[in-house]
Amino acid sequence: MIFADELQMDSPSLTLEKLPKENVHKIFSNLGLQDRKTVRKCSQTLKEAVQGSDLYVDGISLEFDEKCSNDLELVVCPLSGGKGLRTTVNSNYSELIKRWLKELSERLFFRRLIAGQLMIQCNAELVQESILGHVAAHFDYQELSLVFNSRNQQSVLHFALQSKKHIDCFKADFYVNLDPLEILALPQMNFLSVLSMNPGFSDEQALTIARKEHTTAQIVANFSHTTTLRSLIQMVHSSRVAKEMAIIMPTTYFRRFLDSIGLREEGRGLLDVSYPNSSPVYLLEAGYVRNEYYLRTGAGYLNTHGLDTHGKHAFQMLRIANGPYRNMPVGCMFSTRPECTVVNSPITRTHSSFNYPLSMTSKCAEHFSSSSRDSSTFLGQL
Amino acid sequence: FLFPIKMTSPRMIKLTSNDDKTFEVERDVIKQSVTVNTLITDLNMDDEDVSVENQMAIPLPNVDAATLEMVITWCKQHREDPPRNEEEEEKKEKRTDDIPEWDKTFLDVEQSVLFALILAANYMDIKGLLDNCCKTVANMIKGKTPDEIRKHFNIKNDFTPEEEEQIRKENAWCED
Repeated sequence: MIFADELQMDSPSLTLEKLPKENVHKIFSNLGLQDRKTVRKCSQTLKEAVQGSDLYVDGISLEFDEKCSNDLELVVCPLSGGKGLRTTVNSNYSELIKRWLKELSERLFFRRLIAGQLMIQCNAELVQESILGHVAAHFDYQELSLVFNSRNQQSVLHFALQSKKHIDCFKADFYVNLDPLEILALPQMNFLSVLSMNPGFSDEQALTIARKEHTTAQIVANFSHTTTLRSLIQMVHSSRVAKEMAIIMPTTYFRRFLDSIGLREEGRGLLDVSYPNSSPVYLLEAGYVRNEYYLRTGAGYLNTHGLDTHGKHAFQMLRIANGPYRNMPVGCMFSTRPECTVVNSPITRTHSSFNYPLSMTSKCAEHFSSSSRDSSTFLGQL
Repeated sequence: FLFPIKMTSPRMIKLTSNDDKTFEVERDVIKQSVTVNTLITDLNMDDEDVSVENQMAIPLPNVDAATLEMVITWCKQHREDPPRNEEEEEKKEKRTDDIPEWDKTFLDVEQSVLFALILAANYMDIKGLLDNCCKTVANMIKGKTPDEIRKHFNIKNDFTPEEEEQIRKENAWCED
C-alpha cells in the first residue's frame, strides 16, 4: 500500500484500499454516479474497485434478478413497463407522483389493445412511476382520455394529460414512437428522466425543436458548439439534472457524446436510450459498443425500451434473438422486475411473466422464429 | 400447588478474539452473527448442558479484541431488531441517510477502526452492521473532490502520467 505523503490521520493500518474487494464494492454501491466518477479519479486501485460496483448508478437501481444477470443476453418484456430504469423518485416530484400512483393503484385496471401494437395492462402490482411515462408514450392523448373516461376513471393522470402543463414526470422513453415534429406540439415540461439521448433526430429537426421548445432549446441549439457540449455534459453529470431533463441530440453529436462520457473506452456506463436508431444493432454497427458491454460483465447496459432498429415493439426482438443475430449480443433489455419474461438467445428458458401465461412467451418465440409475421398480427391473434 | 419458579440465566457463549481475549456474550445477542450462529448450531452447542466456564470458546481468528468488543456492543444494541429479510433489503432503494442515530454515533470512530469493523462484520456475517459501516464510509466519500478523498483516506494517486492523461481525457468535459 502506498500512502499519501502528507498523512491526515494517524497512520492507520487499515485503509480503504486495503479492504477486500467485496467490501469496497459494497461501499461504492452506496454512491451515485457523480461520486463514482470522482472516486475513479483518485487512484488506479479505487478506479478498478468502483468498476465492480456499477450496478447502482446515481440513485437508479438496476435491479434485476441475479440469476438472470449472470447469463443475461436478452430480456424481453412484451408489455409496457418493466424494461426501463427504475428511477428514484426525486423529492421534488415525489408527492405528486405518489398521489398519482395511489390513484392509479387503487383504481386502474385496464387492458387495452391499441392499434394491434401494444397491450398495456396495469394493475396495482404493476404500477410504478414509469407507468405514467409508458402510458403517455404509447397512447394517443385523446385515446387515453377515452380509456379513462370509458371506465369512469377520473384519475389524476387523466387530469394531468388533459391539462398538459401538469405533465412533468415523463420518463426518458417519452419520445419513443413519437415523430420529432409531434414533440413540437408538446408543452414545455420538465422531465423526470434519466439521461436520454436521441440520435434519431436530424440536425435540422433538432434545431427546429430548439427554436420551439425552450427546455431543450438551449441544449439542442448549442450542440453545434463544442464548449457548450462540454458544459451541457458537465451540467448533466454534476447535478441532478440528468434525472430531470431529457436531451435531444442530433446524430452527429452522438458519437462525440459517447466518447466524452467514456463509454467507448470503458465499455461501461448506462444509457437509457429512447429512439430506435440508437438500438443495440445500430450501436454495434457503429463500432461503439463492445460485445461485453451488454453481457455478463455488469459493465454497462443499454435500455432499448423494447424496440429494435426499426422501432418495432419488443416482440420483434425475439425475432432478432432467433434470427440472423442469434449469436450476437443483441441487447440487454434489462428488467427492473424479475417477473418480466427473460429470454436467452437462443431461447432456452423463460422466467415467468406479468400475469401472463407462460405459454404466450413460447408462442411468441415460435412465431418469430418460424415466420416473418409482424407483432401486430401476432398480438391481433391473442 | 405452587411450583418454584426456576430462574434461568441467559445462555452465554464464549468468543475468543485473535489476540486471545475471551468474551462472554448472551446467545440471544450473538445470534445476529450468521457465522457464529452457524457454528453454534453445527457444534450442537445449544443442546449441551455445559456451564459457561466449561464451555469451548468459539475462536474468531479474524477479529481482534477491540473490534470484537465493539461488535458485541453493536449486537447488544440491536438485539431487538426484527430479523432481516435479505430479499426485501435487496429491493430497498439504496440510500445512506437512513443510518440510525445510535449507529451514527457508534460508528463515529477512526477510519482504521471503522474498516476493522467492516472486516469483522463481513467475517462474522452481521449484515446490519456491515451495511451501516459501508454507508458511513460512503457518506465520507460523497460530495468530495478526488483530492479531498485522497486526503481523507490517505490514498496516493498511483496513476501513471499516461493513465492520468487518459483519465483527464475521459473527464475533460467536466474539467473545462
